[in-house]
Amino acid sequence: MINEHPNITVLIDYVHRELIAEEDAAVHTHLAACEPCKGAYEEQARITERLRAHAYAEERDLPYAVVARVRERVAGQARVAWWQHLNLVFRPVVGLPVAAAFVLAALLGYSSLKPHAGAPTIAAAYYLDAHSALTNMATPFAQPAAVPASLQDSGKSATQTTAMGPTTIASE
Amino acid sequence: MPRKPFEPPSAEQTAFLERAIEQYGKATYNYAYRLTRNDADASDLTQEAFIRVFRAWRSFVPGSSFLSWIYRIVTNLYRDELRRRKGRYQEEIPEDNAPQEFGGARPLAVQPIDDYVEGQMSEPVAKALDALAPDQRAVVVLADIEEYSYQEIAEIVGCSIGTVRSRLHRARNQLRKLVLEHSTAS
Repeated sequence: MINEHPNITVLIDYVHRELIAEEDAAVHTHLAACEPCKGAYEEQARITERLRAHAYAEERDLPYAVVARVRERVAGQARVAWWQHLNLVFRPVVGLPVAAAFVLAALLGYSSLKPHAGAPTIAAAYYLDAHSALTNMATPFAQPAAVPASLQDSGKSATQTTAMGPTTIASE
Repeated sequence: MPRKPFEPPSAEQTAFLERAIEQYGKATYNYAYRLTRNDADASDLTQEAFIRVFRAWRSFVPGSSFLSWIYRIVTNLYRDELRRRKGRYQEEIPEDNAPQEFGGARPLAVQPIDDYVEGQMSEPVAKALDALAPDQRAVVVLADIEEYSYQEIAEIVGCSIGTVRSRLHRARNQLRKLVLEHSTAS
């Protein structure tokens, strides 16, 4: 038994069973022997009893309107507007790779259509002239083949076979 | 991670909500009513709380108390609503002038007919509860009616156990006086 009277704070904690076991036992023992403290405790216990009785008396059922409104809002969330679909598609995790792919494709497409500025361009006529000139030159790859005698004086063009293949050359 | 608002809900998410409403809808509504002291605000709070539950359903830890979780949501929503309506939410009220500072902590929605009926028929306890400051009322409801421990109340309300204890003691002191006053008056 505790000699000191428990103060109101301890009694309220006792009512709410918030004291540690030793304190709880000591207060319990004291209340059994001390009428004033027992009266103070009973007053606190009565407040709790009245609160619970009042809560029980005014207990309400959940109005169906509340449930209906919750369901309505949830259903509204399920109906996704067209612009929300766009948001869904173009959220960063999807949109960034898609955008990157588009940019890459656009760059590749443009570069394949555009003439290469750095690369030399050779006109077909120039190429043919140059090629002809090359084939007339004596190079290891284009040695003039022996022209048959029958063709040498004909004044016509003759075909000579070179390492690069048959070539028509104009006689001078 | 909470689902984004525009994402269509999954069947699992919808089932979670339906089960929560079925099992805890009534308790949540009654808790909201005991905080707000009127049906209109209790309905709004309950509705909003279940929408929050629906959106954040993945953050609920299985095995933990769902009721504590939704009570915390309701308490926070109630506090936000008070802040919105009053401009600021007063955490601690001196016990001698709490009812005056909070305008007697009148219900958030004005219900003249209900007030009249209540004035004629309600018990002194109801009047005393109405007169408590919102933070004190929340602690009293959780401790005395819902029978939560100080630790659980601290988690729901978002304060320390010491604050719970001091609010509860102040509220009970206030209640004792108010009940006596109303009993004498009636």
